[in-house]
Amino acid sequence: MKLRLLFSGIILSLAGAAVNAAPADTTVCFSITPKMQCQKCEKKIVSNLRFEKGIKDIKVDLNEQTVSVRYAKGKQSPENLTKALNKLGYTATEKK
Amino acid sequence: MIMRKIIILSIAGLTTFAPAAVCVEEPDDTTRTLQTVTVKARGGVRKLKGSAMATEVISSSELRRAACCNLGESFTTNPSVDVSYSDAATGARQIKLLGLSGSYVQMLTENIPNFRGVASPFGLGYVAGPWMQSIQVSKGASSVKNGYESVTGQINIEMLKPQSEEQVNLNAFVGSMGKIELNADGNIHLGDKWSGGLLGHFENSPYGHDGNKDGFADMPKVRQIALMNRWIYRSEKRAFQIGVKCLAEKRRSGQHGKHAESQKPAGGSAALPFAHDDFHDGVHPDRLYKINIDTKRLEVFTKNAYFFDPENDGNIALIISGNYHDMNSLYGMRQCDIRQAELYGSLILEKKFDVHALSAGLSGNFDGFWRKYNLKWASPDFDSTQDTTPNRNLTHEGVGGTYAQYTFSPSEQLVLMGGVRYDYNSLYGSLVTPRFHARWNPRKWLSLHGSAGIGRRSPHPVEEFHNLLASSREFVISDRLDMEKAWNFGIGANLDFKIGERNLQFSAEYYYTDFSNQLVADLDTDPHQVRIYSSRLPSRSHSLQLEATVDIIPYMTLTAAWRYNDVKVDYGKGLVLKPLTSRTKSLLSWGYKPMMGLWSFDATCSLSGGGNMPTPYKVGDGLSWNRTFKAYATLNAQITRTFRHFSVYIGGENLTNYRQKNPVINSYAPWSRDFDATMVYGPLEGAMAYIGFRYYFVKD
Repeated sequence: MKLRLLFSGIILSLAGAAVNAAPADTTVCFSITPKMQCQKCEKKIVSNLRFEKGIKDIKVDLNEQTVSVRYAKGKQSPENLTKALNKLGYTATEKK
Repeated sequence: MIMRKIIILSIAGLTTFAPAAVCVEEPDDTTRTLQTVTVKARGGVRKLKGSAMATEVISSSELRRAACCNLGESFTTNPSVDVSYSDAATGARQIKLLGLSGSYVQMLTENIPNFRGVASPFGLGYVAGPWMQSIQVSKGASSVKNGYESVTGQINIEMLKPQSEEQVNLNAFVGSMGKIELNADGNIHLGDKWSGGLLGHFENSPYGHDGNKDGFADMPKVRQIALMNRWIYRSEKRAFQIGVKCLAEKRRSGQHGKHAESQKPAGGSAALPFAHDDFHDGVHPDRLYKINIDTKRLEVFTKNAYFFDPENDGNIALIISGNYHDMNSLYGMRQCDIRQAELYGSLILEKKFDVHALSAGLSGNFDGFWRKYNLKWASPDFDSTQDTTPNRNLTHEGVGGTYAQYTFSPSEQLVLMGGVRYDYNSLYGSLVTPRFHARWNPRKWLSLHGSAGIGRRSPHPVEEFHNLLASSREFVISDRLDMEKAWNFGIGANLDFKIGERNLQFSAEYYYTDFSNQLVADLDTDPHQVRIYSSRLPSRSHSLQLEATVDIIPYMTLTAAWRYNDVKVDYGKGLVLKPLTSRTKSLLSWGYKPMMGLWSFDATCSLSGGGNMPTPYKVGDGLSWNRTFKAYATLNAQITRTFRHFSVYIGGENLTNYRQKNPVINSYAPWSRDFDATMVYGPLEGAMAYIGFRYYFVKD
């Protein structure tokens, strides 16, 4: 019974945390060159960028060749993200 | 087009040989890419809808949802495959697919048949979890390319690929019952074409496990070390691969020393004819019932492929593998030493002609067995006139065959595949094996599939059932054993819905297996015997499985599954439910990966239904064991935190703490005629906690 309660608590609290995205988040979208070829490139970007400070979500669009990053305002900046993408071998241009 | 590519690649068994210029399979997902075609199954179990066969792919990220120390522990979150202990002494695990024994599942390592014969009882422990990149589970009649042995399906293990990004991975695991595991792997690229990989594994369970404190270990002490090395050459037109794997394992089980005094015979102890290691401080070691199993195994393989027409998937490939397995085992005074040598070769030619694809080939297999065994029950209380002289024999079996498989895929909506193979077996003569598969995708959200085919197996009773020696049962093996043969039919439907932003996948599958000849290990007719014989009496299995997976919120997935098995066999008195087989299984698996997977929370609860036990014998006014067993639930959970170069995971197995009470019958008197450690239907260990660490370094 205790176990059931414990797991129910974990599920509910995590679900709540995920649903209530912080309002102070900012999203920035980058155009990427050279061309991202396949899921390997997508995985490389997501698996590395996610460790940068304040990152909340990353979306890679292979059709549009863009990377959208949602981050906590004040903890991260487009300039730092551009540098992080440069380290991965991509030139990132912020889309306004 | 996509479907045709998938079929060619998955069937060819040459996914390792994808041209060098394309993306290779990632450790974290299952991606197959050929030129411009990419089919991706992101994390979790995915059903391949482009393949004519009903195939599920268990990706590495799915494998990491649980401790997955080895292949046998890799199906915790999978509703299709059951894994259970074969007995309460040796730690041997067995797979069940479609409700039937794992011996009817053809095990493959990168599409090479593996873990056959003497390796089958413990084979699930011979592949370390971190070595595996993915597992493919094909249900029902399979491709004819890998031989005739698959009856209920195939399980193919894809190992880590040397040609993936250069990296080093380390893994350490400690369980609350004292089990430790260390794994290490790394790969290197030498120029553009050569790459090599080295994998290492060590595990040690130094304490055994005696859950009910009856003085008889329910789980053995196990020490295993394994190494694998392979090298791959790839160019645009050619591919070559060579690999070697070696393994050494010791298992120690049986009685503790504390019961030895009570068994001291009045006239002094009789010395056992075989050497024992002391299990527990050496108190009267000659009176303790011990189980020792020592294994050494060597695997060598090579693959060669020439891509003569890459545009149309034209290639010719030669696969050769050889295994040598040396097992020395002792169950009390019953000895069973077996050496098995296997040699396998397969020559494959494939090409696509527009909407048609053809695969044809030749294959050969040789098995040699050297046996030294004494299956007669014996006790040190007997006088020296009892016959404990082991039998010695040498047998071999050779199979040569040819096959052709045709695939017709006029559109992405339809794939038809038919294959037939002819084999000549040195013991059983000519064998014809037809198999058919069809998949129809009438809508984007609906996929229907069906299959029919024959599977066969050569009987190897001593090799496959030697763990039943962990009892006082008398082995009665028929002099004449025929080849097993069964038809398998299957139908299924997969539905993908989008409810708002959420995905809902639903599948329903039904399989029917009908044996026309079966190797039966009858524990039911006489509780003091195991009767092994070939039976032409009715034996069949119905298996119905319903499964639904839904993305509850972003990054959170829930899978619910229910399966009904109706497995019946005739031991000469009409069809009865097969003993030790649960009639139902329900599974609920929840996974949540917030923060882009930096955290991972997983929990899987399964409810195994009740079933029948073999016929018990009378003990006083009661019975040796109940005639049936009840349903039981297990719960596994794990939390993982991933950092840039390492991750830490902590979890628990069997958190409901359910374990079978007194799994060893008459454990206090194992030399008596009533001792039996094979009446196992459920978990033997109680709740167990563990913590693990993974380090990974990927070269930029």
